[in-house]
Amino acid sequence: MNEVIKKYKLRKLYKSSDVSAVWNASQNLQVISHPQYGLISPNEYRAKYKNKPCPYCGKKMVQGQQFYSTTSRQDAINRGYQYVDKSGNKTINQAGRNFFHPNYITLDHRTNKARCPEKLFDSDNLEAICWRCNNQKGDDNSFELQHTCDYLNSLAEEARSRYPKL
Amino acid sequence: MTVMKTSKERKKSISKISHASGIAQYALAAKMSDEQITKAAKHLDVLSVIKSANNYNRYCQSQKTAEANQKLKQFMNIENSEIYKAGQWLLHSLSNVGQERKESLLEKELIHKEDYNQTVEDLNDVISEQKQGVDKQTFSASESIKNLEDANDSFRYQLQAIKDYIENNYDAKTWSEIEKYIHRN
Repeated sequence: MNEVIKKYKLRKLYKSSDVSAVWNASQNLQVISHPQYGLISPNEYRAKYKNKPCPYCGKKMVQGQQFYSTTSRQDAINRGYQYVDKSGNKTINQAGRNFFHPNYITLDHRTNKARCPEKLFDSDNLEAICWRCNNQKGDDNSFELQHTCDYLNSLAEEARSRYPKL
Repeated sequence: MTVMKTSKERKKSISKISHASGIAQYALAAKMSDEQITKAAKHLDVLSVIKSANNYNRYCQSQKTAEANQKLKQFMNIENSEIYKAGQWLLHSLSNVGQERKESLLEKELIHKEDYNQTVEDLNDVISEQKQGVDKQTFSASESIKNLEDANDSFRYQLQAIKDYIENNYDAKTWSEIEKYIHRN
């Protein structure tokens, strides 16, 4: 695999700040071997999933700072970018001085990059999800599992409500 | 001795008898022999006595026939048929959807309510059972993941500390040697 950094070297990144630094520096490098698209960069990977539904909330993921971000907090609120996070606090996705659309596309590591740096560029460990769901997930590796469980429970409830006793 | 009448005479006599008795000519012609006609023609005065009763009898019969015809007509009217009405109602009920359809059929007890309720109860039991299993497994898997995360965090922290210690107390080259050793093995 034509990786910029070999797996055994990634494995030796013990600090999450070091892992993040490598990840951020590789955004435009073709470090991901995608089964369908070949070697692509994280940014190219993200772009492939633009306007696709988020696998968790199902909302359309958007991309393009020109249309989906603003430097004004008030403007972001007016645009409806503010939402209530899992702790119940009002929040807006922010990177640097920019405020982003809640469903702006992000690239998530299924297994935390800080805990499993050797899988930093593995395509099967990467997933395009919306920023809001990414925030909700945080560093919880059981997020996907819990989501599947909630989904099954909602199916069960639907079946129950659809067939009440007469 | 029977005197054979000519056709013309027979017709004439029948006409007279019919006039006197009120019985239709076609019936007399069909049911009376020449002998009987001759005999009856001799007693037209007697026949005229029963004429009004006979007429009334025919009138009553026509009234009854008319009444029976009316009933028959009503009976034959598809709108009044119980089977037709039941069919219409069933079609209407089946054209409803969802809850409306179910309630409509339930009104006439066309749904096996007990069977249905039993099936729903069984379904709910299965769902509850599955739900419990899924919740339990998810909780258990989440706990395992949490434990592994904690262990992972701990090991990474320890390795970083060891690396810092060696680099600070020996030199970076020593740590590099250790790294190579780990990689080889």
